Amino acid sequence: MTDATPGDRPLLRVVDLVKHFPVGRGSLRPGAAAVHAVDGVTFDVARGETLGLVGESGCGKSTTGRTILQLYEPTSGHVFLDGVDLVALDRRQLRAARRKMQMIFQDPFASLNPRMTVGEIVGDPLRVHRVFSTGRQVEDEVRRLLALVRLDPSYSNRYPHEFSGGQRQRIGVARALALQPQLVVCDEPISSLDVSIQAQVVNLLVELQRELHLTYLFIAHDLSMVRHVCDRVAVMYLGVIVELAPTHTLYTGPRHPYTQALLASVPIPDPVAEENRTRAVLTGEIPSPVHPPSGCRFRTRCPIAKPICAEQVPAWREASPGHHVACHFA
Amino acid sequence: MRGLETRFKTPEGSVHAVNGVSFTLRGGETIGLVGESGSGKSVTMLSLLRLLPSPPAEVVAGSALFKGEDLLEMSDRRIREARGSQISIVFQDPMTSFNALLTIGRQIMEPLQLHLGMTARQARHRAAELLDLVGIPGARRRLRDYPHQFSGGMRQRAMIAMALACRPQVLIADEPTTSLDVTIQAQIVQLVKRLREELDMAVIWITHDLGIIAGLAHRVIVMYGGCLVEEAPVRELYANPRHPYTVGLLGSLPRVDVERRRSLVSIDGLPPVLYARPTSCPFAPRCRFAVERCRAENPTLEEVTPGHRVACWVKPVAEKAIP
Repeated sequence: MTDATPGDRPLLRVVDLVKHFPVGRGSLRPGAAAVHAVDGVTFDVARGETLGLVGESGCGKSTTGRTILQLYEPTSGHVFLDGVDLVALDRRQLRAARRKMQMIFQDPFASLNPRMTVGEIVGDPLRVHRVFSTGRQVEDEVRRLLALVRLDPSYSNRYPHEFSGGQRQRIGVARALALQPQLVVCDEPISSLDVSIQAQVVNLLVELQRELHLTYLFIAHDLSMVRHVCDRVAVMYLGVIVELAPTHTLYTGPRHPYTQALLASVPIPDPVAEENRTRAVLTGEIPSPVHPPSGCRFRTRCPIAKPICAEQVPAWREASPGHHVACHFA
Repeated sequence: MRGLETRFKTPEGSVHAVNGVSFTLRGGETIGLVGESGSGKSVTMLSLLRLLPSPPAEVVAGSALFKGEDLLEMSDRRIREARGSQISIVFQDPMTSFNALLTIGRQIMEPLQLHLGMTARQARHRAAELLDLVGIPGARRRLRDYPHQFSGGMRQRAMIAMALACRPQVLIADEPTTSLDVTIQAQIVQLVKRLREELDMAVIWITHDLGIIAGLAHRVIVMYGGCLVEEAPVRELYANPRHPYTVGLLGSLPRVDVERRRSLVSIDGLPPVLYARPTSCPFAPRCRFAVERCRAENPTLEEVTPGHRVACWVKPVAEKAIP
């Protein structure tokens, strides 16, 4: 659970973050059509906490993660890391700030350079940021990092293709931890791994968090895994957060109809539980993020939508302590 | 299906992908075929349908009787007929299994004209009915669309429509929902459940996801290292798994309806690549119950309760794998 006490400054504060990607002809002109990938997202992450960011493909969860890390330039909004607004920094300042925030990528095959040895990959951030003065020190640190992620330190001379998916993901974790970051954005860190390997990597992430007091933004579509890993969970739909609550509250008493439908869609590995489930299968598909629906974005698929849902954007309100939701009827 | 063995010739040697797999599929029944990548689950089905390119693949032993006829012995013409009209397959990636240059309608009409001898007009009518059946709005109009104009979920529905075109008695679904979102996955599962009843169709659902199988299959087959390691009626398998691999898989899954557990059971090590017919239990190197015999002899399938077969010398009774 979180180490944070009330009154503590959150490690990460995201305020009204917007990221639009221009599309189509004349996309450089102002007023051109744009994909509203992230459309006004606000949340905090406390020190030592794991916040889950869930939603279906195209909901903007990965873009949110990348925009927070300033890998994409935000269209508008603010990202405060330890009180510093990353959006206001110049290049040099931003480079220094990046030491505090790192990312673990989804695909351990695409995210490791095949021409670099494991030692070069893991040591790269240390060299770029000139953490040590001698190559010897870097090598020692790489060995320490490999041991930290439960890999044999002697592997540092090998190349990524010599490793399995699970081992590669450990290499990615070691690289992310090289600069001793405070915030780690985990973007679908296990979804490309085999089932029996997923548990290995998740257990490692949980153990490392405890050992190193890391703060995670855990982006995933696997709601079962998110329940297992996260302290609080935010649910995204079409570029906006529709519900945010402590994990237990969200899974036992979801208020937004989308969260309810999402949870009802997740299969349970238990035939008896499956049989006794009432299943409200959501119809239709996610609308285009170029022209999101007016009012509530979920209304086109919502089983309880009323005329007001097309007219007014539902307010973001606190339904019970710590449980926020944006729905006219929740 | 009896004693199937399939190998692949590679520069590193012959890979033994399937090593003596036997099972029976009854009419109207749904079997879940579960395993990780490389377990041999897809190769088993592709061997059965004779869809593997040879070389490098080679089916070296086995028989697959379909209503008294051996699929592995049939003439090429006869197997093509059977594949089109009596046994259909839906693949994981609907984008690569459609021809991008032909309209959806044309591709659904083709088997109707080829196998059922329909005229273009009849086939077009039936194709529209099929798209309607799988829940695609404006079916008649959408026949003129190309695959890229469909979303992922719709393409998968259209794939199913195409597979159902000739009212097959067996539908083989190879990870059909793996690339789809959960809400769309739930729609496809509901659809297949409805259709199998309406058409009295047997289904083999190949997957790595023990979650989806729980609510869908009547019987479950678990594969590992090219071998069938456990088979049981669905409730029995989840309540009393006896193979250490099945127990491990169930323990490694978090559940959306259960509070967080301390840590997930992880199975250390990696699945094997077999360059020879296994002479020991393929799971033994990763198994915490393994004894001497497991490393000396590949266990044979043994029936522990009616319909529940396990290939394990130890057959530990797990304290419940699911909390």
